[in-house]
Amino acid sequence: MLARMQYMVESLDELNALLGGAKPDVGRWSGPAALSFQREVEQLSHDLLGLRNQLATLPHFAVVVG
Amino acid sequence: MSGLVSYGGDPAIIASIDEIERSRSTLELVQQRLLKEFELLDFLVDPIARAALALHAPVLLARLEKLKWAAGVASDSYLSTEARITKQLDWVTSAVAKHPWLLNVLPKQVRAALPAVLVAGSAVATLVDGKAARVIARETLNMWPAVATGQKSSGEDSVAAAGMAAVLLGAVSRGGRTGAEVESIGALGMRAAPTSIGAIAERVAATHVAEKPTVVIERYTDGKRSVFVAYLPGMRSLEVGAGGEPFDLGASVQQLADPETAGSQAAVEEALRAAGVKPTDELVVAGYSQGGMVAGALASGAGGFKVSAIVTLGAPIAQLELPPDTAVMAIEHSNDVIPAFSGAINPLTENWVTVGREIDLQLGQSALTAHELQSYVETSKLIDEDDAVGVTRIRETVLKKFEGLRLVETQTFELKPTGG
Repeated sequence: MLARMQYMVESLDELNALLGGAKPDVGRWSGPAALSFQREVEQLSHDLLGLRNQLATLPHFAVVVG
Repeated sequence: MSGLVSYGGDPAIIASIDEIERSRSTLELVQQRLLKEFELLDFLVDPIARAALALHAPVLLARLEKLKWAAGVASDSYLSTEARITKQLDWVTSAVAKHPWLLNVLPKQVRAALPAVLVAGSAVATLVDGKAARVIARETLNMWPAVATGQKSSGEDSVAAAGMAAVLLGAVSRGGRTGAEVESIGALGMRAAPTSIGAIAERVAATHVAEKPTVVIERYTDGKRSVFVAYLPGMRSLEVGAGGEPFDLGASVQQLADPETAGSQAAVEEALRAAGVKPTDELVVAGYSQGGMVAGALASGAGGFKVSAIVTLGAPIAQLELPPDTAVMAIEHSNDVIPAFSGAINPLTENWVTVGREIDLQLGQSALTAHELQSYVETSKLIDEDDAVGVTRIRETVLKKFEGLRLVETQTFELKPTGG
């Protein structure tokens, strides 16, 4: 069960790393719009990290069917 | 109000469609991965955590969607000027392909532009790979049935276009580089260095209207180094192939297909060498239409010259890969179809400014009116008054190339093709 939970947290970590890649390469896209876009991505990444930490601290259990 | 619209040339604001698209695609991937976290059976394991994730997910997905939308808006707003030209062509050709009868009711100026697309498109699509070929091929293929249908009733434009395309295909597909000879026909009167973009455009115009096909090359020096400036004409003849002028219609198509094979390219490179331009000398090139394409090709490395700046008037150059440190001022009217033959959009980079305006077309005027050199000269004069950051920066970069230097020589070369 813990392993399943660990998988979910790791999955969110991967998502966050992927999201980081959406930030503009300043050498190829810069300026006010790019900066605003980057801030939004960073904020989203920050919130995703918060969610990940929250999930990691929740109690773990499974529903057994049958 | 000048009505000028510009983008690029400002180091604080640069963008590329590829980069914006990369960001947008990454967000799309994140969205898809996030959605995969919600398999129904997963809720049997850690249901509280899953429920918490499910509660937050819609907001996260909506924010990702908003960011994707923002990327699309950024792309559109940055690059709208050139994109609009491409869209105009696309709209016209698609509509005509679907509804051939439109050809008879389209405004005369729109009909007049169609053969130009057809001619260039037919030849280029046969010979070129890459973005230009894709776009032009699409335009041509879309349009061909409509033109074939329309020519029966709409007159000479389409017939002439089809004939010219056939000739072009035969002439250009022979391949190989067209040779060129140049002959110095003496120096024009000694002139001072140009102090404005308008003055540069006027010198280009003087070259274009010369009786013989010529290029003018000026040499400036401070005693230690030389800076050369070349003024190039646009297409001067509708002929194709050897025997005509180097700046003929065939060379225009070859410039798009492969500049290295164009007679105009060979002739200009020969003239530069004859003027004494060495690979280490700084070179500034200004050209109208096909001359602008030659300037772009030189800047992208053709001939091995050290081009530090180019000024182009109504030239399709977006398809070229130019060194990032070359200063580029691409002057393009938004309703001039010729620059759209590049099949691409000028990049929004630090040293490349694209600037232009929409030319008023009167009822019955050809759309190619927006390509007229005199209009470009007038636009160039407006550019000298413009205070947009990118325009100002590139204008000053270009004009500073001559600062502190004295003009020591002006040579005029007549260009003579020697055959393919």
